[in-house]
Amino acid sequence: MTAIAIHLLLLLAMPPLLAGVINKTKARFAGRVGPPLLQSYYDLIKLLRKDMVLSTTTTWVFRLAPAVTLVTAVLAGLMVPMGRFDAPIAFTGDLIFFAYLLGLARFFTASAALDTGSAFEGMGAAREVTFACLSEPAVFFALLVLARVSGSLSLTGMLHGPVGGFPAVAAAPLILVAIGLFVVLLAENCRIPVDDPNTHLELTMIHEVMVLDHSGPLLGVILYAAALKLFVFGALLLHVIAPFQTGALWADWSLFVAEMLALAVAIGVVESVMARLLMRRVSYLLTGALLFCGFGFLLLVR
Amino acid sequence: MPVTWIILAAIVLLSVSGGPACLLSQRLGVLASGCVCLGLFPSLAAAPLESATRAWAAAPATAATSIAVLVPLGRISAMGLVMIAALAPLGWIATIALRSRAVAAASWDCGYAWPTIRMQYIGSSFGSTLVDLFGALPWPRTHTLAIYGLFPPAASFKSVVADTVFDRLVLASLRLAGRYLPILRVFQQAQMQSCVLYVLTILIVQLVWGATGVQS
Repeated sequence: MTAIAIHLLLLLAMPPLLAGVINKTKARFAGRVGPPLLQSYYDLIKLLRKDMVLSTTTTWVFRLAPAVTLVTAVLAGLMVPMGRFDAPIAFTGDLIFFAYLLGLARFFTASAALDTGSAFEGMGAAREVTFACLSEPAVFFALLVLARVSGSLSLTGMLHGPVGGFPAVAAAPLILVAIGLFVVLLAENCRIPVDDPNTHLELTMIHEVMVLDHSGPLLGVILYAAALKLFVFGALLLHVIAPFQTGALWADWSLFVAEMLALAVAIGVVESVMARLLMRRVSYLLTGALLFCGFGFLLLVR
Repeated sequence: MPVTWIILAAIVLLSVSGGPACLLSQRLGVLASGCVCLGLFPSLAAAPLESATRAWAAAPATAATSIAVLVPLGRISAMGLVMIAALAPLGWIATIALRSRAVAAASWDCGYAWPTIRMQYIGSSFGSTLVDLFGALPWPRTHTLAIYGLFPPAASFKSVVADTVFDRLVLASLRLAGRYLPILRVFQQAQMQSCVLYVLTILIVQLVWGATGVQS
């Protein structure tokens, strides 16, 4: 019960901190002080207290989409184990449910963008679903590799791996999957080199352009859901790249939090040392991620 | 487990009784509450269900394995409660978001105020990036009238993306079938004696096949 309570607490409270760590890292690289670590929390509180501006062309879809995005992100977070602890929700085949939860969130976000009738937001929705055609198979291949290695069809079992740790024969596929998943994490969470969450030029945006018309509390919910999604993908990736544990309850939770913060720093470093890719090259990057995960699967079934 | 029986009986009674004064929505509400109750706490229904199945199968109480052993009912309850605990604060946030004051305005237009249908993003535009990326599969056909000069008199662009499976596979196959299958009509011209001949031929073939099969 303690583990479930901590899982819930971390899932709901920690995600905005990751954005703060990433921004702080980028600021340090640029020689600036940067915003406070808790800036994302302040922004969310401010947005929740503001009024909204709604386009006259929008319908209930526009209002519903942020709520659906948030709920699906939380449900996905309840299915991914943190560190060595089991996820609160786990059942055989939950990996499919997990993938389609993310797909449902994407569907509603794109629908809300189209609901505004804005050409820019429609363009962003088109880009989002196009790149999802490459990132979703990559995630599925990665999950297939983990299922094959662990012999489990539940996310908790897959990510914990077999008893005694992952076998040596799975090292090469897991390295390939880790690379592929990291690229997917950057793409799915609108990070550089795929997208820039701080950009203000509609023609170059992907995810951000879809939410141009959202404001006030709706925008706050969307930003919070995006932070949750980054947290969930991070927890997923950490099982592959850093499956460490000490055996002590509090030490393992502290280790997980430290790993998650280190991952946020790594994302900040990547964003600081890389430029955004040309839009037409994003598909090449995601195809590369798909191939990495696909090769990982082939290595296992050969 | 008398408490369980009482709860189940109350749900059933409340949902079917009440007469015309009881609104349909109230009955459905009671039924829905019962469903939620059973979904969250399936162990409540396990004991009555178990005794019923044992009575139906005429098995002794100790013969069959308990449902609670076969299915992790406690874990299902825990997962449901965790989900509610996680979604409750979100419901509060969503309530704030949905109830907050909204000001009506035009969509984000970047210079094109009050977009009309002609300015809006159409399905073809939405799918164009996908079509470009996977061009080999949908195989789009475009017809472009190139523009020329400083003041081009006319310009046009038309793009048709056919349904690859239906147009290029199913319809093409049916077209081929329609062209060549009539040849087979020579074997069947609605003559009864031809049908009998075919049946007889097939029977003979089967007999020979069966006989050789038995010998081998």
